[in-house]
Amino acid sequence: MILFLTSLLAVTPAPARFDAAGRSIGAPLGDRTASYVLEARYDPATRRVTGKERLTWTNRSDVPQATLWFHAYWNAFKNADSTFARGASLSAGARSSTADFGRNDWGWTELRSARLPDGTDLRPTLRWEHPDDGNEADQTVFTLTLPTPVPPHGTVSVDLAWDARVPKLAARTGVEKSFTLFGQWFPKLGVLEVPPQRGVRAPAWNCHQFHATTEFYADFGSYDAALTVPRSMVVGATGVRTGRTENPDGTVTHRFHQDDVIDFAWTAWDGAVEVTDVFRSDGLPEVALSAIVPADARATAPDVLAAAKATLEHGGRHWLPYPYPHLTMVAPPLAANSDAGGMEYPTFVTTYSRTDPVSPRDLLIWEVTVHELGHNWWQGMLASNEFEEAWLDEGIDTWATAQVLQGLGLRWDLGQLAPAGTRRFLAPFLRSSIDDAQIRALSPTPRFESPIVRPGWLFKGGGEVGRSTYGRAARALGMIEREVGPAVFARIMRTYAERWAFRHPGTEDFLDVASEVAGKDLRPLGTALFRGTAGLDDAVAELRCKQVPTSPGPGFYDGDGGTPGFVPRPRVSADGGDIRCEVLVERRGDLPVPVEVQLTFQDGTRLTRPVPPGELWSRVTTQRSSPGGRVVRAEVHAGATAPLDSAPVNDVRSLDATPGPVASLTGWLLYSAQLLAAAVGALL
Amino acid sequence: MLLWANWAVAGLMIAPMIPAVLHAYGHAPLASGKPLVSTELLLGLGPVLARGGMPTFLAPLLLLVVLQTLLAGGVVWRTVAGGPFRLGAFLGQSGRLVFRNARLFLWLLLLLAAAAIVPAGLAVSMKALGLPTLFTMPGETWIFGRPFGAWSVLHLGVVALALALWRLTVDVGRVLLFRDDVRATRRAAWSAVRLVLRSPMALLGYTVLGGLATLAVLLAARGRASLPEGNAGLALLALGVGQVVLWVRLVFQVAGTRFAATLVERSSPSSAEPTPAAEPGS
Repeated sequence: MILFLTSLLAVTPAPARFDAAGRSIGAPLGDRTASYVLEARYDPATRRVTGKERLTWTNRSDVPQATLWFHAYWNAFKNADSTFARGASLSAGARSSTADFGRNDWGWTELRSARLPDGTDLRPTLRWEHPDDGNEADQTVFTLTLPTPVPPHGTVSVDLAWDARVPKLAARTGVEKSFTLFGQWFPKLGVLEVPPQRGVRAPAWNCHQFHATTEFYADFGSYDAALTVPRSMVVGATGVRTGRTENPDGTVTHRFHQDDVIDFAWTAWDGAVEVTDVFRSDGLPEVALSAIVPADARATAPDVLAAAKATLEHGGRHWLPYPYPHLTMVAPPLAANSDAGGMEYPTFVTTYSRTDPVSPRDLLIWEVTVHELGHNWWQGMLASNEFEEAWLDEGIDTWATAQVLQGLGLRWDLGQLAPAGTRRFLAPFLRSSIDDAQIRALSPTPRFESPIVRPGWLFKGGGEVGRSTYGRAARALGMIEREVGPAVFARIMRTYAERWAFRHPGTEDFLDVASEVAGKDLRPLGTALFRGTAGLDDAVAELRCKQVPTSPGPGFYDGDGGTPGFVPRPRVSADGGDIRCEVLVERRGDLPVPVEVQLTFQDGTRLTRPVPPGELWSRVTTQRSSPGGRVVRAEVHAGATAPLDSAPVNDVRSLDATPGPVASLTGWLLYSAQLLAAAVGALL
Repeated sequence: MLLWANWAVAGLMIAPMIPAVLHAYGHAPLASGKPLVSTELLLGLGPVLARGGMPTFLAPLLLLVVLQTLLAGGVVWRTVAGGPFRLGAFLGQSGRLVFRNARLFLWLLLLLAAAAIVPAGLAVSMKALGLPTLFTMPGETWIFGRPFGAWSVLHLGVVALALALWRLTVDVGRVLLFRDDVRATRRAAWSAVRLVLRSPMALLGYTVLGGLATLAVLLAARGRASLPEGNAGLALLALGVGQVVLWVRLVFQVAGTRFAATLVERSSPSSAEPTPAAEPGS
C-alpha cells in the first residue's frame, strides 16, 4: 500500500535530452552550424582575458563560401566613436552607455592570430566591415578570407587567438569591482542565411555591428569552454560544469559544455554565494538550478529559484519542455543591477538582487527572472534575428512573461518598489494592482512612429525600440488572440515553438503558423500589426437621447385633396412619446479591424450595428417608445477588449453621469497640487 | 489665509485639466469603482494631462511665491502682536512688509548656499571614505538595497540641521523686520544669522520642531492614503482628510514663526513689544 501511494506521489520526469556532461542524447536538436572550443584565462588585476578558440563551421548553403564574418563585440567599448557609443549617446532609453567611461574603463578585443588547422595564416586577410552605418571607427564586425572556399555543405575549422580587456560594466557586460560578466566576449561568427530562411533569396551573411539597442543573432552549435580564473572566484556559465582543475599558480580552470545552444556567457565573481536546487515535474525533463547571488543579498536566491521553477513548469506545459539539464541564474551585486541585471543567454540569465526581498514573492525579482528565462525559449531555442525582428523575442517573451505571472495570480503592487525599511509605511501611498502586460505598454497611441518589424538601430530612439518591440508587440499578439480566441492562440504559440525550435524563424514564419493553426488567413492582420504603424482607439464619443413626439412635427402636410394644411408642434409628455437617441462612434486609429457598436436600451434589449469599413466615424440613431427605448449604454468591442486600444476607457459611454471617476481624479489632482504648493511654500 | 492661498494656487494649477477630466471620465462606466492606480484612471491620464502642459502648472507656483511672500508679513504680525484677528490689519501688515520680506529672502538665499556647503562637503568626504549618504549612493540602492543605514541617516540629520539653520534665520529675520521696523534688510539678515548662530539650543529645538512637522504631515498623509477608493463619496472624504494634511503643515509653519518670535523676544526682552510703527496705517 505504502509503495503504491509512494508511486502515485513520485515525480516521473521526461527522458533527458542531454547527458550529465551537456552532450545531446541521440540526434542533435538542430543543425550544429557553428561550434566552439573556447579557452580563456582571466586576470582580474589587469582586467585582461587571453583567449583561444577552435571554431568549426558548416556551410549550409549550396554556394561555396570564401569569407567568414565575425562579431568582435567588445570593440564597441573601445572608444567613443564606436557605433554602440554613438547610438547610446543618441538614444534615450538605450542600455547603459560608455558616456561616463574614464581612461581605464574602455575595453576591446584584439585578434592575435587566425589560422587554419594546416597552419595557413588568415590574420593578414582581416578586414573591418561596417555593414549598417559605414562608421569606419567601428570595429565590431570583421571578415577573414579563406584561401579555398568552403564547399556547399562542407565544414571548415579555424583556430583563433585573441587578447581582450574587460570594459567597465555597461550593456550587460564588463566589470564592477570584483563582479565580472562575460557576455558577447569572444570572436563569434555571424549567420549565413540560406534560402528560404527569413525570406532571403540567395545565401548572405547576416552579421550586424554592435548597436546600443540590439545584439543577438547566432547559429546553433556545441560549446566547450575551459575558463581559468583566480581560485577565490565563483564561476557560473552556460551549460553543464564538466570539470574543475586546481592549477599550481593559484588559479582554477572551470570546464563547461553544452550542445545545441547559440551562445556562451559566464561570470566570475569574488564573494558570491551559489545556491542550488532541482526542478522536477511530471513529464518534464529534470533541470539542475544554480542561483549565484551577492553575499549581502543572499535572500534573493529563494525568489530566483522559485521563479525559475514556475517558468520551467509553465513553459514546459504550454510552449515546449526546457531540454537542457542545467540553468544558471546570476543576481548581480546591488550596484550592478541596472547594468548587469536582466539579460538572457542560453541556460544562463541575469536577474536582480535585493537585500530585503518582499515576502512572500518579490515581483521585481520574479518578473525579471521569468522574463529572462523566457528568452531561453523565445530567442534561445527559437533563434530569431534580434537585430532585425526584435519583437520575435522581446515581444513574444513579454507576452510569455505576463502569461506566467497571470497564471500565478501575480500582479504589480508598486509598494514593492519602496525602499527596504519604509515599505510598511509607504504601502498605502503606492497601493496598486497592475497586470504585468500593462506595465510594459503604458504609452500606446492611435498611430505609431515606426513599424514593429524594423532593425533596432533604425527606430526613432531607444525608448521607441523598447515600446515597440516589447509592450506594443505583446499587445499586437493580444489582437491576434482576440481574433482567434484563447484556445486557438495557445495552440498557435505551441505549434510555433515546436515547429521552429532550434531554427531561425522570421515574422512571416510566425504568421504562416498562426494562419495554419487558426484555419484562416491572419497575414493581413499580422502585416498591419507588425509591419504597419496603425494603432487603435475606437471610442463612443457621444451618446444623447431626447424625447420626441410620435405624431408629425410642426409644418404643412398634404391633406385630403392635396391641399397643404398646417400641423402645430405636438406636445411631448414626460412619460409618453418616443425616445430618439444618437450615438457617435469615432475611429481614431487606422488599424483595419472591424468594429461594431452595441447599444443597450433601458428595457434591457440590445442592438448591434457595424461601423462601415473605412469610415472614421459613424452615427447610429434609434427611435423607440419611451421609456424603455432609451439607450443607456453604448459600447464598442463589447465582450472582447482590444489590447492595442490606446484608450479603452472610452470604449463604453453611459447616458447617466459617472461622478465617481471624476471626483476621484479631480480630488487627487487637487490634493497633489495642494501638497506641491505646500512643499514650495514651506521653503518661502 | 495661508490655506486660502494654497487652495487658490492648487485650484489654478488643476483648472485647465478639469474639462478634460469631465470629458474623458464623466460618462465612463469602465472607470467607475476603479482605484486611482488603475489602467482606467491614473494610467490613462497622460492624454488628459497633456492638454495643460508645464506652463499652466508652473505659473500658479510663481503666484504662490508672490502670495506666500505677501502673507509672511501678516503671519508675523499675527504671531508677535497677538490680540483679535482683523483681516484689514493682517493685509495691511502683509502689504507693508512684502518688499522688505522679499529682499530679506533674497539676501538669505546666500545663507542657504553657505549652509548647503556643510552637508555637501560632508557627502563628498563620506563618499570618498566609502560611506553612504542618501545623495551619493547609487540609484539602485533605493530599490534594491537599504538606503537608510546609520551613516545615511546621520548625514540626513546634518542636512536637516543645515536646512533648519537657514529656515530659522528666515523666520527670525522676518520677526526682526517687523518688530524693529528695520528697512535695511541686509542688516536684518545679518542680525538674524548672528542671533541664530549664538543660539545652538534654539536651532536644535527648531530642527526637532521641523522633524515633528514632517512626521505629523507624513502620518496625516498616510491616513489619507489608507482610505478606501472607488466612488464619489470616498473621493470627497479623501479630499477632506487631505485638508487635515494641509492644516497640520500650516499649523507647524505658524508654530515655526512663533518659535522664532520667542527666540527674538528672549534675546532682547526690552524690545519685545512691537513698535508703534508696526501698527497698520502708521
